Amino acid sequence: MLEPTPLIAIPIFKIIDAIDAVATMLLNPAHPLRQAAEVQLAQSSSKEMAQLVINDLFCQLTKPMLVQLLEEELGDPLMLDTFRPRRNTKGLVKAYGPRLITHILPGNIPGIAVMSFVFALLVKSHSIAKISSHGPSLVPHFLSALQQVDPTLSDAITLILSGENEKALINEAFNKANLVILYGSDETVRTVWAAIPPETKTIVYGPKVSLGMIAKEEVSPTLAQKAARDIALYDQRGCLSPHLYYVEDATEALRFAQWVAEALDKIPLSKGPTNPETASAIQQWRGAIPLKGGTVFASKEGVDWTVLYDPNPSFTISPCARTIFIKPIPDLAHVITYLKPMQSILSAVGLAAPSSRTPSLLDDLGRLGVSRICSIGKMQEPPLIWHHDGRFRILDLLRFVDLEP
Amino acid sequence: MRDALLNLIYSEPEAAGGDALFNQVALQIYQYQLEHNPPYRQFCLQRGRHAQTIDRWEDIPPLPVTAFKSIDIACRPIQEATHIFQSSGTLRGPGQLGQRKSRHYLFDDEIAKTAILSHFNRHLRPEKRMRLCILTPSPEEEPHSSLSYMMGVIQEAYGTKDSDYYIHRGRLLGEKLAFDLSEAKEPVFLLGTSFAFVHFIDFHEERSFPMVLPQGSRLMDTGGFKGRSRVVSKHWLYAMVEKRLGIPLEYCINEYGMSEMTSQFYDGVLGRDAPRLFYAPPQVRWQVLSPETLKPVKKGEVGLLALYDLANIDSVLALLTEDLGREVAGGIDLIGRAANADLKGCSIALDAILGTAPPPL
Repeated sequence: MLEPTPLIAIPIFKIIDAIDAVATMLLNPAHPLRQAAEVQLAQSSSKEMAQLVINDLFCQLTKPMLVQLLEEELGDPLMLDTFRPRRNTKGLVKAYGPRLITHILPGNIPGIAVMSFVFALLVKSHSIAKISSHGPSLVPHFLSALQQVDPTLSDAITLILSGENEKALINEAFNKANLVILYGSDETVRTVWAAIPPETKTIVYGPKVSLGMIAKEEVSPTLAQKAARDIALYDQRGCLSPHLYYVEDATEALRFAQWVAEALDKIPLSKGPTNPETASAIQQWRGAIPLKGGTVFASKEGVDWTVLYDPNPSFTISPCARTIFIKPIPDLAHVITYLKPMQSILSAVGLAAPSSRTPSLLDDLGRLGVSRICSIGKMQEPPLIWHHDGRFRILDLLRFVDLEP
Repeated sequence: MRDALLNLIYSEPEAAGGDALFNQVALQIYQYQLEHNPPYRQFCLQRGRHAQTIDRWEDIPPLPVTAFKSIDIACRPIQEATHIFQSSGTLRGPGQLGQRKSRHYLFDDEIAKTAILSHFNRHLRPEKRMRLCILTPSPEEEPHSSLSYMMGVIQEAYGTKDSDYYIHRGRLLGEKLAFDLSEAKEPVFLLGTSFAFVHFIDFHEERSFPMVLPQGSRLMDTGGFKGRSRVVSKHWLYAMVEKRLGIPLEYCINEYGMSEMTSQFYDGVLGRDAPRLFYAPPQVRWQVLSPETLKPVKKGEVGLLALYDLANIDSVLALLTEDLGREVAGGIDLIGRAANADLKGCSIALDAILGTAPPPL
């Protein structure tokens, strides 16, 4: 008989309960771990932003949400524990996660690493992870909470810390892994790929950009406030952050730009520090846009926020850190042309348009490769059941064994 | 104005009264550029700056170099330009589609040549004509490269007949260069992009034994690592040049320039062992500005470089670069180029983790 890994023996609902307990701890403002997490995140943003980010993450990791995710993707979560009847045909089926998942995780969005560990736990996999040291992390707080709740679960997660033998450890983790989850840009993915055994299944989350599209009927100060929230949250560090908005009609676009500027000026989420490279890029754009026939709306002091009304409809990558392009477009349908070159890296579209006008547009966006179409103001809060980059969160990690009748 | 500029270019950087003279000529040229360069005038007006209100060169609004990608920045009809220089950087990625390469128009060859040669002469000190081995394409092959233009000017002034260009159709003529160097009896002068030298050193290391070039041989390289995957330091390159070609460290000089600027900086004087700092020619001044506020930083702090190059007489003299640096002993300690608007997002993990090791060329 094969020796079971400690996780295999734990029933899925016990794992869910443990994660739920962790979420409850970190959602409790009085809990010391929660307070430590806030202090940690506030270093690179602000207290309000830290609270928002932590709440948003752990509200998603409560029992009802986790059960919903498993039911959505698997139908029957108990399939992770035992052979269960198939949905529409005779026979039984059981799901197995990889024994070991090696994660290479980004540090820019604090929730990503925690989510990746939660998904691994849900499929009863052990994890070895390297997390970029750049950026704030919630991982220590998550792991401490998990250890208090159930040390068997926290023991299933191993972090590779920075140090001399870091590279060797990463390579070893690649060799041992049954699945590798990799966040990285094209170039670096190619570099790392060589270290991953070719037969090892690898899930890559490459660089992505997001944008907003707004029909002329929808332009309003309220919508601009919602857009400002999408821009301000995480200071555009994430792949769901908008780089630009296409707004129908030049007059409306300019009005919208003005309103977004006003909203960014007043937004109660203060901004994190901006590095000199980003500030430099923002200054270059601020200087260049007026010469191209555009208009700049900018914070009075420094580079707190910048709205660039730019008549050139080509997709432009923003330097981020609350820098947003607003581009006029005669008809929303024309946007597709400008998105084509971006096809491989499109993530979310925040859309504000009357539903009568959207059917063909939605399909065009889907065909281009967009994986999420949502309301403006909600871009930074993807639901747990979002098909991240068009994939299943749980199903993609699993393999299935069928028991025929 | 033009004569005053030429006099300034010929003067010595330390000359007494240099500052007052610089200021005077700078304000004249600024006035001229406001009048004849509508986009720049518009830019200055938006900043609330007008010629009448400015009496210090430090207050001339520096134009972001990105502007050269958007529109033509010139004080004369562009049909009259003798050369059009385009930036070498490729437009990376889909997000740059709306952009074109940076374009800088040159109208006054005499000023450009004088600016190039006078400062080159101060730092590289060619005593007589030398054999130049130039690791760039020739000006004929790359008429829009400001670097090739500069090499052409230097070649004409200081090169012997057997001087040659060793980049042809994007390829380094490594064999030919190695052969020509091995035959050299007189001191040779190697010039080119730093990156071309890295290529050559790699090539040479694979195939040949180290050589020692005749005494007096020298090298001038210019920061060509932009956007390359392999990053090596100036220190590494010069150590390798010494090891492979026998050119001592103090005979290797680094140049700093850009296609939007007519003048150049050098980080040392040939044969002099001194800290590597970029010193400006008399027609150039610079300031270190806060990237956030564009106000001057405190002495010694890192910030964005704003360059004031009077030899840019027919475009814009004040440039806001994307380069970070700080002031040390009156020179620039160049920290590096602020990265192009690169794709950020959920994907910086690997760059940060694995960025330490040099990937293959």
